[in-house]
Amino acid sequence: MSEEQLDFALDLMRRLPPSEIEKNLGGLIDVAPELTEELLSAVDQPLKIAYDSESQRDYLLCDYNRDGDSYRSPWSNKYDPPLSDGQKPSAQLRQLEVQTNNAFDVYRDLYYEGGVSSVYLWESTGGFSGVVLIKKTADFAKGGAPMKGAWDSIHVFEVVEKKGKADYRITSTIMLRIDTNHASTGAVNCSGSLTRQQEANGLPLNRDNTHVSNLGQQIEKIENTMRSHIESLYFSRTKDIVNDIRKKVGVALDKQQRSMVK
Amino acid sequence: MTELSIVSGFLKSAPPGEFNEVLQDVKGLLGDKAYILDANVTEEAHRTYNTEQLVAFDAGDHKFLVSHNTQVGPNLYFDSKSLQVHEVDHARQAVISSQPSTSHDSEVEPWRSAMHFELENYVNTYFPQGLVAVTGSKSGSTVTLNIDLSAYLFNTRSFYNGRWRSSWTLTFIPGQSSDLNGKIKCNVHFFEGGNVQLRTDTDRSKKGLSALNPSQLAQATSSAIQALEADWQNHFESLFDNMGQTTFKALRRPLPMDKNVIGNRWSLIQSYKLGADLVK
Repeated sequence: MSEEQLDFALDLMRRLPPSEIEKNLGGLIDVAPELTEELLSAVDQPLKIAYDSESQRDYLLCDYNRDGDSYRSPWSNKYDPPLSDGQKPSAQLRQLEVQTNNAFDVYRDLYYEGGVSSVYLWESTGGFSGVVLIKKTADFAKGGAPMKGAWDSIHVFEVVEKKGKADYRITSTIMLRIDTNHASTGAVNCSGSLTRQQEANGLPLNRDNTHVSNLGQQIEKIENTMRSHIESLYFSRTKDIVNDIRKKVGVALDKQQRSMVK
Repeated sequence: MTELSIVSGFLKSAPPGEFNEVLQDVKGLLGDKAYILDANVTEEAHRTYNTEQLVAFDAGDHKFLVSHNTQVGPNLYFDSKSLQVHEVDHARQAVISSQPSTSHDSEVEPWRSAMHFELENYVNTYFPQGLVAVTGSKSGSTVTLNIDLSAYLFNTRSFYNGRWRSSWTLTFIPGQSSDLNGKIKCNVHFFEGGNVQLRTDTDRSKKGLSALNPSQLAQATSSAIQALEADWQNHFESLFDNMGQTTFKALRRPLPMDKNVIGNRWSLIQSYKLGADLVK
């Protein structure tokens, strides 16, 4: 029963307004508290930012760096509020986590020119798993009208190592939210999330192709592809649908123009 | 919040054309608590959704809109085209019975029917699947006309649904002039490999339409609504044409400043502190 309930809950999240993810998720948990853990790990939420006072840097919060009510910073490797026995990666994996964080920090700087990134790794069967998180918000006033945007990237991956090679399985979710309120258009909110899965098997591990560069190249490619898909979906197709509901040139002329194109 | 008010909220925010799917999900989510959605609650949820979304019901040879304005009794709706009152089943979106409307005011009716005629013309000209309802009332010597317009595009096969709604009000003393006030709302839902939704909401108005006689006011209103809706659509279009180059680019660039992907330079990236070092 519970698994069926979870399917219904997830289908609901695919239909309810993505601008209210947190509120809707809270509602689902109130209605079906026994699904809390599953829902929290299955439903991606906009990322929250915390400040690591020891490293004096922002980091991102998610279910993967949470232990109880504390979150681990990727910079200092410490939990806040402090936990004496909080889960941490092994020394070897922590070293890779530090390198991956540094690499994606450069990536973030190149593509986002701001924002916050965090990478968390943990041990898993045959290798390790992890998540790359990036968040960027932008707040402008264009001609006195507010315009707000938020981008959240969540790339969850699993790595299996064998004989100098590695298999990668990556699930990427990008959440985008744009809000404007111009006098000419009124309130306009466009928000949502898209998810893609990708696998790459038998990638070599050598001096140039480490886990950091293998993951980096794949995630860079996925994000670039998803960004252009989002651009056409959010902006061009949404606009086209509005223009199909109301034909600017009129229904008759529109039909005529379309038949001439064919 | 009670469970009932939470799931009622879910039902209320169902995207255009997806109420039944959301209802199915809510029932499944409730599992053995689904009894809280009894017949009365479900009917009320259907009614709220249908009237707020301005859903079109089939009356045989034509359709009519259910809205707060067209509602004349518990499940009774005034049909702006045929001048009937239909009793409806909200859950099935079907008509149960129909009879001629008897309650319209003879002084208001010429204004209302002229308005319906012009607006229907406008809707048919610009919306492939659109419908309008005009209702009227009088208080003292002041006449109020309410216009509800609803148009949709459902394409579940291509994973999207959308609806345009606009509601307009005119309040006037016959022989004088009238201000037109209204709202335009659009909703679009994409659900292929994700969940993307557009929601827009804007207020529009036009002052001083001549209300000398019914056909003059109806024509002036129809062209004012046409102009206001076209204006909104044009601004919306240019906002979305520019957004990719402005807000969207400010969030994440399509490529780094030097227009090259990092690609195989990922193997060097760890020796750098900032992006600037890599693209030097």
